[in-house]
Amino acid sequence: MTADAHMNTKSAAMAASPAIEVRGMSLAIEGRSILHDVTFSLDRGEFLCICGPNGAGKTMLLKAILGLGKPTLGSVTLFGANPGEGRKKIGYVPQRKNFDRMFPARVVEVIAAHLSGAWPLMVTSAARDKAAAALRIVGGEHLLDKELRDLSGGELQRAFLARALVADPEMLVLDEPMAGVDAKGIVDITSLLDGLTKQRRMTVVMITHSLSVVEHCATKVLFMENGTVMAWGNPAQILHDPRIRETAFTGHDHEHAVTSGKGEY
Amino acid sequence: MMEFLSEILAQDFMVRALTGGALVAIACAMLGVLVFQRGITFVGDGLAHSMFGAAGIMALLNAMIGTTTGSPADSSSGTYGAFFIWAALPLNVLVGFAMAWVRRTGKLRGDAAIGILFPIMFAAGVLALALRRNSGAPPLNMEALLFGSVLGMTQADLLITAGGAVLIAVIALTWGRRIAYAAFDPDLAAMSGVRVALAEYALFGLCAAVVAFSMRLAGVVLVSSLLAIPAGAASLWRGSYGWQLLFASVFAATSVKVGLVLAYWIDVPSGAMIVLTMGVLFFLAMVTRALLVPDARR
Repeated sequence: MTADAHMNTKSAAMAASPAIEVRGMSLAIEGRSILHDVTFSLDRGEFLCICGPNGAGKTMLLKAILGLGKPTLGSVTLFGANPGEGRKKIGYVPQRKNFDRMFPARVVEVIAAHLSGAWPLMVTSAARDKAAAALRIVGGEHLLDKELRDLSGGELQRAFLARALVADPEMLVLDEPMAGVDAKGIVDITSLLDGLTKQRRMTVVMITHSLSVVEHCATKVLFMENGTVMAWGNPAQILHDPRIRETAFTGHDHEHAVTSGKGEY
Repeated sequence: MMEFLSEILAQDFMVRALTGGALVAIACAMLGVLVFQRGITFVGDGLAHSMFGAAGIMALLNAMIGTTTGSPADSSSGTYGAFFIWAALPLNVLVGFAMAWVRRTGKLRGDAAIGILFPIMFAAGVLALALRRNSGAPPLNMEALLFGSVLGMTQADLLITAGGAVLIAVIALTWGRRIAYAAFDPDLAAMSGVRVALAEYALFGLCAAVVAFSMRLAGVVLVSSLLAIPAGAASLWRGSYGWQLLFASVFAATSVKVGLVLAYWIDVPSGAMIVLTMGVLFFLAMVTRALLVPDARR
């Protein structure tokens, strides 16, 4: 086989490979087991909701998939490549906004930094236009020149969503994106995500405690408890189990408080 | 006044000091902004003290080998052995990497790794200098090492200092923007393709190098101020990261020039006058901010 043919076979294999493939992955931090023997495979274009009680290891699972946490056992591939390589195709919205509040960051700079992979000294007009376009998608045009530390929880989520979308990702990875967002924001974000998966065939992976989001958007559900996958399947199968409904969707976090407080979105 | 300034500019060593000093100050200020954002302001102090250790070890080696390059005995011209400084530079960079390594592998928070390593290096320096003295080698000019001495800056020193400072400033403006991104949020930076661990090592290594390049100007005790004060003054204002780099650079270069001229005028160590000038300017900046922005939220 020639080198070219080999490359073609390789890229064809990457194009056909599932969005996420996790095999027998375990992860421990300082001897404490966080994830145990997680295996699943997610096709492109699916909308996966990861559910489970607080402390089940959902965020750590996302981080391991993205290569931000290193598995002690097993393997993860993203679009057929290792996570460090595959994550370039991913837009990520973290749960806790851990960014340094003292850092002089404006929304346009945070988005431009994602485009160039370095903090901008000055934002180019091309990057500014892209940032504005991404913010328009999430209904946050007015946030472009605001400082990050001045934003409310909901505004921050929109800014981070725009950041995640700006590089035309193949997959969105969202860790409780509705946390701290008001009822209208939840409706907006949900319909936005729904549109992205249906129109652009974008793959979405999302941690959520919101039953209504799972019912409306998910094509696959992964239910976790104590670091292991307890159930995997389509929403109808998973939501059929009253114990899962009870455990996964009564977590006392912001997101649930907002959704339950306002009723159905 | 004009006469006084032209008298200064007629002195070769003062021209060298003003040129090298301003360049080093700008390099320090730029790294200082990164260090400030990373929340490890103490790194300047740590690496300056470890630089004392590295210079002490090199001075001992120098006495043992018996080379006369940059002999420390030549205190009549204010020299304390540039040789030690340049020889100690790579050793100090290694200490910087070790700090980053201890910080990452030991999962130590904030300044702990720095606080653990620098006294060890400082103690090694004290030991090395004592052994050097016992061996009968001529004593070092300790005051110059501790507080800076621009008098001894030769043309070769200036070239090395200026070259190093320009290189570090260019790195801070280009590759350093990845370090800045990692300082903002390591996970987000990693997702945008920044190699976060490399950025951390690079920051410590660059700080170790810039401290070495600043030794002549400010000495062990005062060099950390070049990293800390301009960046602190820049952070008083709500400006972008790029604007903070600019503000800190202008602040530092101005302070160094004014401080050097004052030091020459009253005939006192340059490092002390530079730091005092920066201190005065910092408090002026604070007062100005309080007057201009009465409801400044931090």
